[in-house]
This record gives sequence, C-alpha cells and structure tokens, in this order.
Amino acid sequence: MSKPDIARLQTIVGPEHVKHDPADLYVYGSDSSVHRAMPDAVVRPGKVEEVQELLRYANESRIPVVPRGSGSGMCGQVVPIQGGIVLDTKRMNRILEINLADVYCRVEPGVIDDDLNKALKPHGVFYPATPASSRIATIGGEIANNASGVRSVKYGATRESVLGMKVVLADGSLVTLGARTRVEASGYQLERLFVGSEGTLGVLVEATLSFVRIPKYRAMGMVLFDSLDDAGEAIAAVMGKGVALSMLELVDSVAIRAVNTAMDLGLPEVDAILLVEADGMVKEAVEYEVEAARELCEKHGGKLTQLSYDPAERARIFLGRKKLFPALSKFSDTMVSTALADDMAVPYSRMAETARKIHEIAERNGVVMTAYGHCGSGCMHTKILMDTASSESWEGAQRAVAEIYEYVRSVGGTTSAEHGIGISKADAFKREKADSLDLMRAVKRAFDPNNILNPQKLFDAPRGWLTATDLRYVASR
Amino acid sequence: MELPRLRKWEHQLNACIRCGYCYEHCPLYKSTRWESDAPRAKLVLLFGLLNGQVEPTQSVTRRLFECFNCKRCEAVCSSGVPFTEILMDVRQDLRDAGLDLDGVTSLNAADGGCAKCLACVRVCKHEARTVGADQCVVVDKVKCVGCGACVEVCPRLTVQLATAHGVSSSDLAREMGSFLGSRPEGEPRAIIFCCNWSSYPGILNSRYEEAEPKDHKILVNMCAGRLPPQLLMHAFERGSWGVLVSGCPEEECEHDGNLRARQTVQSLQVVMGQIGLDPRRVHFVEVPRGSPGTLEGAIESFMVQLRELGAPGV
Repeated sequence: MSKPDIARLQTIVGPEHVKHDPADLYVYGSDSSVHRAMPDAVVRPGKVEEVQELLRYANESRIPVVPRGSGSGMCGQVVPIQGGIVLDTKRMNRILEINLADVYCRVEPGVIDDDLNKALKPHGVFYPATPASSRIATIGGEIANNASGVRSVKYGATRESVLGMKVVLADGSLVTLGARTRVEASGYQLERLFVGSEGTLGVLVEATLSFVRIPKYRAMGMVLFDSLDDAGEAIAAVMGKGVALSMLELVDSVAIRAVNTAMDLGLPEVDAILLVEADGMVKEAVEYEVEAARELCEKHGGKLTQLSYDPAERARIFLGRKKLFPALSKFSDTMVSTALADDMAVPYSRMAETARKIHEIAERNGVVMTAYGHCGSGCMHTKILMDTASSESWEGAQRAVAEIYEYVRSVGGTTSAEHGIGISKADAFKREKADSLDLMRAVKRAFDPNNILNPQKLFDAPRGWLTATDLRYVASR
Repeated sequence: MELPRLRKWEHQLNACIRCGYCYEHCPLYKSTRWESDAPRAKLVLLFGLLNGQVEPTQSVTRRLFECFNCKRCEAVCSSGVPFTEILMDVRQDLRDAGLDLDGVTSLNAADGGCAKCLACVRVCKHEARTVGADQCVVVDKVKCVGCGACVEVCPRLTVQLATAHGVSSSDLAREMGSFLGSRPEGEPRAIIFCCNWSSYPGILNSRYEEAEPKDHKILVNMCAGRLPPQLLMHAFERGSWGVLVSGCPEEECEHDGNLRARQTVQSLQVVMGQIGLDPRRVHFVEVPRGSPGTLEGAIESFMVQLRELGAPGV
C-alpha cells in the first residue's frame, strides 16, 4: 500500500480540511476499542464529489481509506491498521429531507443520531434504532455497524430502518441502492449488505431512513428475582409468549453491586433485576403488555415493583442501568473497564446460563466481568475489568474472550449483537462464519478489488486480536 | 522526557474508556469540529507522551494549553477522569521542561501599551496575573484558565487571548449581526448569551436547513462576566428586540463573572431607561449547571415578553 500525497488531498478537499500533523494522526489512530494504529492523513470532505475524487485517487494509488464517524466504536472498526487516509464524515452533516407523508428522511452520514431525533420530534416521530452513544454517534457509523440499543426488542436494529442509500464505491463511482418505499421486492438488496459492512464495501454519502410515531404512553417497572436462573426463565417465557415490550433489560448481581458501590443508587441487592417497559398510543394496550409480562415474571418468582408512567420516575428507575457503564469504569482503583467480548447474542432460553458462564470464565482467568444487556433481543453486554498494566491480566483476558465465544457458539449464539466485529472480535467471527467467509471475500473483491476500503477488518483481520495492533493502554509490567 | 506530575495519573489515562461523550460539551470541539481538539484527544495525547509514542512537539504542547477549563467534559465523563487537574499537572511538567506555549491563555500584547492599572490583576480569580519586578504584568500560563475576564477589563485593549475559538467579542458581534440581519422585517429577534460553564446546551453537530427559523440566537460567550456592555448594546443597534444573558447562580461562578454580568445588565437597564428603551428588554438569568430546562424556560418567557413589548421604538 502507498502513502497519500498531502498536497493532492489538500487540492481535493481544501487545505483546511486535511490533517497530517503527528499529533492529529495519533488521535485519529484510536477509537473506543483496545486498539491503536497510525493513519497517514485525516481528511474531512464536505460533499459527495469530494468523496468520489478522494476514492478515485486512493484507488489508483492503492492507498487505504478508513471511513470514520465519531470514533465511538468498541472493536477497532476505524483503527487504520494499514495506515492510509482516515475519511472523517463529520462535515457531511446535513439532514436533507424529512418527508412525513412518505415516512422517510434523508440524511448525510455525519448527522448525529440525537440531532436527527431532535429534528424529528416536533413532528411526533422518532428514529428508533438508537444506541446508548446516540449523543455522539453518527448515522453513517450506526449503519456501518448495524447499531441498536435498549429498544431493539420492539423497533429492531439499524437495518430495519434503512430503506436506501447512496454509496461511493472504491473506484469513485456513485451508486443508489434500495428505495424510498416501505417494500422493495426484486434483485439483491445491496443496501442491506452495506448495513454492518464496517466501511469495507464503500463510503456511505446519503441514507434514507424510516421513522415511527412517538408513543403517547410508556410504562416502566423493575422486576426483582432472587435467582438469576428464574430471571432467565422469565425472559424466555416473556419473549416466547410474544409479549410486546419496548425494553427488557437484565442487570445481574455483579452489575447491581457495581452500581451501588460506585454511585450509591440503592438498587435492591437481589440476584437479578429485569427492567421492563411497554409503550403505545393507547394506555390500555400498554397495560395489557405490562400485565402479561408481570404474570409471566411472577410465575417464575419475579416481583414487579415501581411501575410508573411518569417520565421522571421512569428515568429514576432506568438510572441504575444507565449508570452501569460508568459505574464499571469506577469499579476499582487498580482495574479498568476494557471493551472486550462486549456484546454477544444468545437464544433467550440461554440468557441466565450465559450470565453464569461469563462469571465462571472470568473467575477462572483472573479478570472481573459482569453481565447485563438487552435480553429482549438476546443481547448480552459484558466488560472485562482488569489491571491493564499487567501482562498476566492480558493473557487472562485473552483466554476468557476465547472461552466465552466458544461457549456462545456452542449454544447457537452470535459474536456481535450490536457493536460490530472490527479487529477485536474477528477471531470469533471467523470461527462462527467459517463456511461463508469465502463468499464474503468474493463480495468484498467485487466491490473493492484493490482492497483499499478499511482493509484488514472483519473476516480479513489479523489472527490474534492481542497482537493485531498496538494496544491503547500503558502496559508497564 | 520526565513527566513526574503526569506519571501519577497513569491509571486515570487507562481508565478513560474513550467513549467520546465529552465531545458534545467541549467549546474547542464546537469551534473546530476536529476530534483532535476534543478532551478525549488530549487524554490520548497524554497517554502517548507517557509511553513515549508522542513527542512533546510545539503542536502537542499547544493543544495541552488549549482548554477553557469549563469542566463540562468532567461532568459527563463516564470514567470520572479529573481532566482539568491532569491537564494542569502536565502543563507544569511541560513548563519545567521549558515547553510552555500560549494556547488559550491570556497575553499582553507584544508591543506594550499596558497602562499598569492592574485591573487585569485584580479581576483574575485564578492568581494567574501578578506584578513582576519591573512593574510589568506577568501571566502564569499554567494557572490561566482562559476565562477572558482580564481581556474585557483592560482599558487599553492590551490583553488578548492567544486563540479565542469563536468567543471573542468581535466573533460574537459577527455571529450576532449575521443572525439579526437574516430575520424578516417586523419579526421578533433576540440574542441569548450563554455561559459555557453553566448553561450552554450540548452540541448540535448537524444542519437542518428546512427547520423553522428560530426567533432567537444562542451565542456561547464562555464566562458571562466577559460580556462588555458595548456588545449588548450593539445587539440593539443591529435590530434585536432583546438580549438575555445567562450565567451561573451566585456562589457557583469560578471567576466571579456572574456578579460582573449582573452589574453589566443592571447598568445597561438604567441606560436603556434613559434613552427610551424598555429596560425589560435586557435581562440576566441564573442557570445552574446541568439544567437545560431552566434555560429553555427562561428563553420562552423572555420571547413571550418581547412579543408583548413589540419592536423597540428607538
């Protein structure tokens, strides 16, 4: 691969939109993952034509191009493992159209999720595939990773909201994929292929997204369980009976202790908590779903408490779950929270077993892990808490990650529910998708024959995440 | 290079989970929209300095002296990283190594002109300005937090911020003029000055041109105490129906800027009464940190009042 000619980049996007100072390059070499690598330049195109020209140049000169949103990915998706050009999309940040009659909106890739929802709110609608990082996450990044969040149980992931898109391919050509209609029957649905492709197939320059009505009523409550197994059975019962919840979150005992220790929120110290939420336009319909969930949870030993329709009260109930992520970061003075093995999905009937297995594996390997997540979607979040200055901890983490994914695969689960693969989950991904990797490579070659677009990610990432790149931590012993 | 003060923060640099939630609150990032100016980037650079992957070049040093010390990033930090404390320590390390740079710290103009009135020394709450042996004002670049209070009190305009990042009086005047000039004839319009420490809302990093044009413009001015009365008056000269100034509640301001802002607004109200403008057209509101609803409510009732008052007659 070649190095970019800075003067050429400056001609394409303007000198003020190119960075090549080592300080900038160092910053743009990392994201929210454990990985780090140096790009050769960062560019900020402002329009489609500039993206096309950049890619034409990069393709002719065989220079890697790594599209980047806000760099909040947790698996190294935007870490420029082979150097090259980081293409920062944040200048392409226009909401182009909100079409209420036809129920779609068109946006550029750098639009922030929360900003889109602010623009949609006055019309009584919202874009639902919102991840927890919606305050900074770009729509382009969400599409590249098929992001989702706490309400995916009802509204699905990003893929469910993407109707169409415009994409610049590796050779600089612009293609329009999908449609603006709710349904489209014929041909390969290439727009769906791009969702979750992590910037390896093209650079998204416009997305057409659907939206849904903001529900008039929302009810949330907390179901307490003395046994994690009972909570697991309740999850399977609720989902198996088709109860239409808008949120079903699991918080295990380690997570409860972490939140109470770090923030003194006074969560009940039980073995597991399920947060349940239902929403809708009619109160009776919401009540119906909540009652159905309550009945099934009680059958499995759960006790529904603090049920409320009041927004402030709901926010208070959700606070423990919301603060879990920061609480884990403050768990100990010697350990830090690392984004590893962080978002697998397993069948509903295996949620409790998975949580137990995670604790068992963590203990065996000398790290601390917790289990929480959007169990209504089968998504289990974890974080590995460890002493990042200790090489033994890293070895333990490496073993724990491998064992967890081995288990997830053995129960019919999948490597990533919503954060993506990037570099750190590629080993597990490649094992899980072993019989379709050649197909994926063929697709990649068809779109990007010179392999300039975000190379060495997903199926093409180096073997062994621990040594794939430099790590972002100070490892002093 | 030895960085003894920074070294003690190694655990905190590791503990930053690099979620990036600090972006939306950082005035520097709002100004440049480059990730490398956001707080997360500074922590990344500090990490690089510690482990020898980053050289302490002028470019790196400048970035570490560019922070308005508003601490909004700390308030939202997922990992509770004491960002400004770490930054102060590394600045001292860099200064000890002879590498301090201007950043956003306040300076005295190189060509002199200082009246030696010491107004800037008196107004500085951070003990960053002292009188040197030759009676010249000396700026401590480590202690200076770039609040800009000294800039506004200097009678000879000798004091400047090395880099204003869109919050100097001339920047604000330009933004103000551009908004006020864009409003249709006869339509209400007002300027809302927001203190970055307390009330400035989170970032809106997207553009939506079809959105209904607002009847007010929010301008971040960093500390409310920096607002000169001329700038507020200038809003009326450019056709504004009113000016709302928001600042920290009493006892909460780190620079005593809220007291100065309140005095500025009160003086202006007197002047406005004298020249036939309703004094209610300029108003000071206290907005505690982390309560955007208070600001929204204040703006709404201010705009209702301005509509009742109608266009200013003078």
